[in-house]
Amino acid sequence: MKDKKIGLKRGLSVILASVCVLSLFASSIAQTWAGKINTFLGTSSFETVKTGESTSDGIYFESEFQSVKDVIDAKEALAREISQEGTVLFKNNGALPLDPASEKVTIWGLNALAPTFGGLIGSTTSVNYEAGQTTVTLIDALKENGVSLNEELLNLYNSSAADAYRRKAAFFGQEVPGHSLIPVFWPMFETADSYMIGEPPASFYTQEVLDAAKDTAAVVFLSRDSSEASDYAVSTMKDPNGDNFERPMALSDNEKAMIELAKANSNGKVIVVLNSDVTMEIAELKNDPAISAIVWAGLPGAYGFRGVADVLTGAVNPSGHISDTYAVNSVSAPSMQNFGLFFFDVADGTIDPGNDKGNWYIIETEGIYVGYKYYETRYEDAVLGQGNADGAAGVFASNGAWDYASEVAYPFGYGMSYTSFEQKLDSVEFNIGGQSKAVVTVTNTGSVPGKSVVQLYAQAPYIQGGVEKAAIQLVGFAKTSTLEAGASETVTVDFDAKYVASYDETAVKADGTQGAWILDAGDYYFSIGNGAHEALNNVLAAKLGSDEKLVKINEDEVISADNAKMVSVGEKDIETYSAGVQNQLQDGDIRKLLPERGVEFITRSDWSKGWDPVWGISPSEDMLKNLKNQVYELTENGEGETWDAGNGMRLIDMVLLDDNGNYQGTVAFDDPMWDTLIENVTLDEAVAFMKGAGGNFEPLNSIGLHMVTAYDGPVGFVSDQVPGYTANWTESESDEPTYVGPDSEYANWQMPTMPTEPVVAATFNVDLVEREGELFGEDSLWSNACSIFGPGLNNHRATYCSRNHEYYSEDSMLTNILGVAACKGGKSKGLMMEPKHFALNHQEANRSGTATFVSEQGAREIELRGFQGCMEGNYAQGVMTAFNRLGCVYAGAHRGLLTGILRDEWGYTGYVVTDMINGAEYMNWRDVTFAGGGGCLTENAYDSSIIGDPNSADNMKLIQKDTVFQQELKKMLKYDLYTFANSNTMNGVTTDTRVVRVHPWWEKTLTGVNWGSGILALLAFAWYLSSALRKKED
Amino acid sequence: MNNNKKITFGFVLAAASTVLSVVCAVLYKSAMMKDDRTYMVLIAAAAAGALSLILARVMGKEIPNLLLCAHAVLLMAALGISIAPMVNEMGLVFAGLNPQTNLSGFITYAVAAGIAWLISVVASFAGVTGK
Repeated sequence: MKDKKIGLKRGLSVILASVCVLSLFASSIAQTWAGKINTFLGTSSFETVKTGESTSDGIYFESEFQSVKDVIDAKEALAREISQEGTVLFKNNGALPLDPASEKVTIWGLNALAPTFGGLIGSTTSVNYEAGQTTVTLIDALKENGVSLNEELLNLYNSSAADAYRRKAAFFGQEVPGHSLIPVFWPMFETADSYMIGEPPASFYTQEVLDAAKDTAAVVFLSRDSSEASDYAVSTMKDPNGDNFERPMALSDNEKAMIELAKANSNGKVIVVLNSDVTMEIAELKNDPAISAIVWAGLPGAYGFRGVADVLTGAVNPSGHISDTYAVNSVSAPSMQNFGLFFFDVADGTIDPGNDKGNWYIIETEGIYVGYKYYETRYEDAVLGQGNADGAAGVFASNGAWDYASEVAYPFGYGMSYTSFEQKLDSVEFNIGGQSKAVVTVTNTGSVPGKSVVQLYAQAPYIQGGVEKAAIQLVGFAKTSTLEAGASETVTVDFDAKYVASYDETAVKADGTQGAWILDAGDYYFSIGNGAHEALNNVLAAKLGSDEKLVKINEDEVISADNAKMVSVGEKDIETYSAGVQNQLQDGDIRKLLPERGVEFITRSDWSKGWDPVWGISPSEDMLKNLKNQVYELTENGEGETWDAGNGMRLIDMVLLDDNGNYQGTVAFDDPMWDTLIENVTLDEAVAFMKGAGGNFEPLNSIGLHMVTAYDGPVGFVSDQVPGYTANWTESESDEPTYVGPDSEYANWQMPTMPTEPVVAATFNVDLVEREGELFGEDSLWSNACSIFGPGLNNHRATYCSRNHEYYSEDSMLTNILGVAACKGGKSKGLMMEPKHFALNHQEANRSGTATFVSEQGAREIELRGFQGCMEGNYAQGVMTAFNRLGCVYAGAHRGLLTGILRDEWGYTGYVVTDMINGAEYMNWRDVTFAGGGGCLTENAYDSSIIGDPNSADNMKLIQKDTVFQQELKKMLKYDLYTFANSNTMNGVTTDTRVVRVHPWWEKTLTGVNWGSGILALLAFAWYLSSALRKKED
Repeated sequence: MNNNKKITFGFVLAAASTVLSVVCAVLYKSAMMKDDRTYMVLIAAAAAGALSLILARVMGKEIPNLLLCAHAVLLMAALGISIAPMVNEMGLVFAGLNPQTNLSGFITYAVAAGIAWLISVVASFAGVTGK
């Protein structure tokens, strides 16, 4: 009996001791994830304390609004305005605008009930329905605009009969309506075998429904999904519900059948609305006289369909212009030939796909010929009879010989209006080394008011066999105010000659370095037009003196030689735009890495070359070394750096105020005070900051920096209105007028609601984009999330990249100009705008570690130019690197890209962070830091890695010995701290502010459990041992 | 060695738990887990279990039972240590963004460690030494 009792006490002791051990580890894990837990619970582990010595109010960036509701309302209104101006009218035979007073409308398309508002993950449109927030579909918006809808078909769509056909993707374990793509973070070694279009077959429609649709205008809603971490596959895919299509961007059988039903059961008006950011194949709709109108709506966010409805009903006149080329066949661009899954030819086990993530690649053989720069350049060469442009290579829709009209449905920059405009290019000033401008007079020659976009294009002289040059490239644009019928406006389009220059990798400058921006001697043409094609036709008409051979593909095209101006440049210039420039990306060019493989790129000198997909590349030994991530090893070197100096300087001391306490910026970037400040940081803190930069930047208590909160993404902070705020501050300590308490009616309203970037781009309206940046800045002020992962500035290289919704365009200058505007707007409110993904993030399939091979000219003129404006001007204050490699080196650890170009050439002083660490070995913190890559997003991803947590005892020992590495850490800190000090991160912080560690309720609870279980375990053991000892004595 | 002692139920369970803890250590290593501390604690747990069994045969006093307690607590500690670095991956897998195979090795190890701990707890109630 006694033994039994002792056994019970022993067992109980073990259980209690185990609970205590478990509780201790749970506490340790919770501490590691404290930032996330605090954000989720709305608690904080740090408080600011003020001693009351400072006279400053600590408000360096002020809100223009009185309440968070005002911000929400302003964003809703702006979303509508962006969609009003971003909706593109492709075709209209007079069916539009609809007359709500006299016309009844039938909405065709099950997807209209659950449209795609935005792309999944980084640009997920998100609202809190429970809190009273809403999304607006086109159906809702048309009703709001007074349109009478045929409810018969809507009732059928709403019935259970339609359930089997509805799109629903699984995302974080929940079904998301309006999506079919399924995002995954692991490599996709196979293409998806199905894509659900989401439309029912013709048999679904009952005769009663069809009869009810007669005598109504048909609005046919066609939709394609978008998502991060997913791609469309080039190969034919099937719909699991039995629908079929030749390619996912082509119309499916069910969609075609629905359109036929709409044509047969309407009043003769059939209006197609495209809800897609990927370019669909719509030539058959364009060429079908029974299709009255085509309207592109894109993915317009939570409220943007109101803007689309305004266009459909004529409340506003459309003024959007498409930011991508609509090809007849969606895979006809050269870039699509090398898109998708390509694997290195290496023996099994040579590269470990799980850890190295170095087994796959893409080769961007198109060089600079992306989007319209391919179609239009080949068109010019076909017209001029050069370079085998009219050969059979690259033919996808032409009959035999390549011809433009058969290959392109709508050109880049095209868009119609309900009125007509005449644009006249009055003059062009082209100043190399100075500011250039074009003056254009725009007249509304129609009968209704409207806005007109002036698009200015340039053609640089191409020398056969010389540096590749596009026949036409956008260099600037402007939008008129609303012009009444008959009214005129003179518009000036400023542009920079450096963006007309081409990158010549072989040029040797006076200082002996190789690689330069060149302007060849010859004739430069500048022209305007409704899209790239019309502009090029104007150039060709001026060059040829006739429009005889020229091809029009839209009825409203006007060819005018007068709208092209020629400027001659006498001498080739290789120096003006090349100061500090030299080749930095030669290790990304497969032709240089493996010359014996003979990979061909697209070239104007012979359009028959460069079309073959490049399979089975065998990497060289040097390439393998990088693919296996064996780059920077920590070594013992130097005397070490000074840390933890205790000189008393804090970050707030770098903020400058005038005598009246008004914000005057910060101490200059090159002031040695920054070095003194950084010496106060401890090495442990610096390392923790490096590994924890991104999602939330870890606090630096030694210099008074609290946690800095950052979120995705391009359509607004992917969060609700307040948790970022409470993560940093508490109500009792906050003096900020923008404080939003958790009890606010709008506390849980979600912020990511704005239209996606292609819609924003289609506005061609810099003011609207800057305003969007300002309102993101307002969200920042009212939520205290200080950095946003956006805008996305990658290029729409490939149609089938399902992340194109996060990037503006296929054109680098449109991206460049809009990127500047967005970042300028955000910066004005102290928001750190963080463009992504630097650089060459062009596909999502196998995105982690994809070796992306590219010519340096292609990279600089197409991809990097999109980033250049906002980075060079330091409008962007952060930049997120890409998942892919540049050549064989991870883009976030490519020294040529990050230090050579970004820092040294562009003079960028903001911070750099990686994307989410999704491959800890190739995105390793050693290489990232050494290359000038800065911080690493997702601070806990190294925990289970081979390289290990940088703050672990073993790694800290190595870091303490490596002076070079410590110097790179200090550089990172300087860029980051300089940026923070120039942002609204400092709002509320004054010289008497101290950051104090506090223990939120969950932490106290865990501590209580630790102590409680520990004491109980000790008591139980004591009880057990005393019993055991007593038994021994007996 | 006192070979007259009976093999008790607790002894059998403790032996099973000890063997399982060795298996856990092997599973942990073979699953490419990176945290050496876990491995060391598992070895310590196995050592405590083994010592408990040996001493139970030669001593038959309470010390083997105390070692058995240590064995159980060390197993729980190994579980705790090993879970911490996997939280990030668990989040991705549970969200459906990473494949479940990323966790299969860890789950096998964790289930085995959990069972070993349960057995050791039952064994500690029963006691490794006979009357």
